[in-house]
Amino acid sequence: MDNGTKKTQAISELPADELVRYGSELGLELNPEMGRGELLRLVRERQELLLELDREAMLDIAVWARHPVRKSAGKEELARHIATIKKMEVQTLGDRGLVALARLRGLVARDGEPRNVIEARLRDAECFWDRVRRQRRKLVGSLITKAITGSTGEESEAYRFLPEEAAGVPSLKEHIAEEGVVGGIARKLRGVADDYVREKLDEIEARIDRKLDEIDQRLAEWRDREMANRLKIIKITLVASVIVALLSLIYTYLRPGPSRPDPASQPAAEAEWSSPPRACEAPPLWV
Amino acid sequence: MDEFDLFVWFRWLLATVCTVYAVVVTGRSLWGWLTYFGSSRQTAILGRYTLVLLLRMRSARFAGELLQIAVLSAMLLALVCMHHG
Repeated sequence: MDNGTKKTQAISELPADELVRYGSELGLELNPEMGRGELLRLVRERQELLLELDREAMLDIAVWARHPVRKSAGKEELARHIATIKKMEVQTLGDRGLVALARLRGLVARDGEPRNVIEARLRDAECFWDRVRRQRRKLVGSLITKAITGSTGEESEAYRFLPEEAAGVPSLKEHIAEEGVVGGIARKLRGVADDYVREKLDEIEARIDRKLDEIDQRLAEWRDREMANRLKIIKITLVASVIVALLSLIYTYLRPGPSRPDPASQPAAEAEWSSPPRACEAPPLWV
Repeated sequence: MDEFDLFVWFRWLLATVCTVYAVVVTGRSLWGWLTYFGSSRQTAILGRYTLVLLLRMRSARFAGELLQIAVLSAMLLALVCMHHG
């Protein structure tokens, strides 16, 4: 049984939350509310797309967006990076990169298709608010860069890949030649043990990060619930205030006037009484 | 001289008591949180995290509620103004 079949079986056995996490590692934005079948379908579609795409094309996108990646980065890692790219200035991106970018953003694009058609599709697919947000950030970035460095910050140095993990590690032969048989083997073993510990520490760190993200998400949900409750209380208070103000206004318009004085003894008061009471003469609400 | 009106006095008293109560309760609550967040280094970190959590909140999520509150506030203001004619 090959690795691909094993992986497909393993994915079909994953619970929904693990599928969502795996999907996010492939650069998908999945809703946990979706059914498990739908999640599985989307993840498989993304896997098939990644199989179809050229790794070099995906590497072109990472270089164009200046995301720090290793030259040997796998397709899944590259897809995860590409999913976070919101950049739209694709003039400096090569043709194969442009096609890959469009396909990873869920658009239809074929090799050999005119660039301007694909660019127009990318522009159309961008949400209005994303565009506004991008332009705002671009403007703020340019202003801050100009304020700090005095230039617009357009010029940038050439892109460099992250160093490979295995680069610069001497072989056993080199160790033995340098330190003798026992010392060389001991150093090699220590190196292997160090690698193992580093790998395990990375795993633990990733697990802690995931837990912290979960806690952060739960706290954000709690904050939203609290905020919704507070807003509801404010709304109820306002409704009550409006009802009381309305009753007060009705009372102001309908309240009986002053008692009628004797016309013979107080002619001035008669003149005052003859004019109907007006709402504007009522005392204000808070007086 | 204006004639004594029980309802006018009642609404004046109601408005004053409610306003003073709301201001005192809100002020006490804010002061309580501020003293709690300033009580130790750990709670100060918690306070800063809470601030970040509040700043990260997206007001668009509560757009409907905020709109209703704005409409109700406008209605209340209009009703208060109508008392003056």
